[in-house]
Amino acid sequence: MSMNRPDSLSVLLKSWKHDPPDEPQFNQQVWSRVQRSSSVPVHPTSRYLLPLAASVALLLSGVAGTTVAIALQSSARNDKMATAYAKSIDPLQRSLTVHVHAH
Amino acid sequence: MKKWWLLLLAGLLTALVSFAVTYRIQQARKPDQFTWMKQEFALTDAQVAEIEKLHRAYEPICAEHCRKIADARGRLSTLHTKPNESSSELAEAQRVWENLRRECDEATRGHLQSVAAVMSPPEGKRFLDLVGPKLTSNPHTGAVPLR
Repeated sequence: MSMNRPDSLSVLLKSWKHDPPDEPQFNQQVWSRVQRSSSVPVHPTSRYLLPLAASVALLLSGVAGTTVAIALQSSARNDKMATAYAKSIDPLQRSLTVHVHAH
Repeated sequence: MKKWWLLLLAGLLTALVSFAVTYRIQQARKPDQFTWMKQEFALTDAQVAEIEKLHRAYEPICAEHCRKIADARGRLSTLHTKPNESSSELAEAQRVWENLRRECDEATRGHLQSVAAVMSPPEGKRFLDLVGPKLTSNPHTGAVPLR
């Protein structure tokens, strides 16, 4: 394409003139629309209920994680402590430990 | 929709972090025997004192049994290594060993029952269910090796 040839769109744009109709109420109309949209009440569900539900869900997740950890640790610790206790009162196990250590 | 995914992710993360932190804290706790019993079986101070008393009384009995077991085990080991030893002597040593095992088992189970009796009936039962299977004489734990 030659640079000297005038672009038809440029020509059109140069010749185009916009003559908006005279609207003296334009500003007022815009502001009244802005006011109308801000005065529409936000639904209570999205204002309070959703954040509350999200907070409760996070809290419950934390509680669930803690509960599972305590349950797992408690079970493992009980087993370990019961084994150690049995060993401390059972002479057969105690003498076995002494016997093994002695060699 | 994006908000719900974020919430789900945050929830999972919270659960994971709280699990890890609690698990680590719990793991660091290593109570001694009586503290564990007190916490686990909801014992009062008086019950703990009673159990400690039972333990003090049982300790010399247990030590004596340990000594007898070591002697019997040593005798059996010696007889097993001597092929010329008479079979009657070996049989006698086996009989002594078996009697000793029975005696120790009865004493241990008796002590366990005494400790459980100090607790409330449901806790005592739970205690027996937890510790009982760990004793040597329990059929699931197998026989004690002689050597």
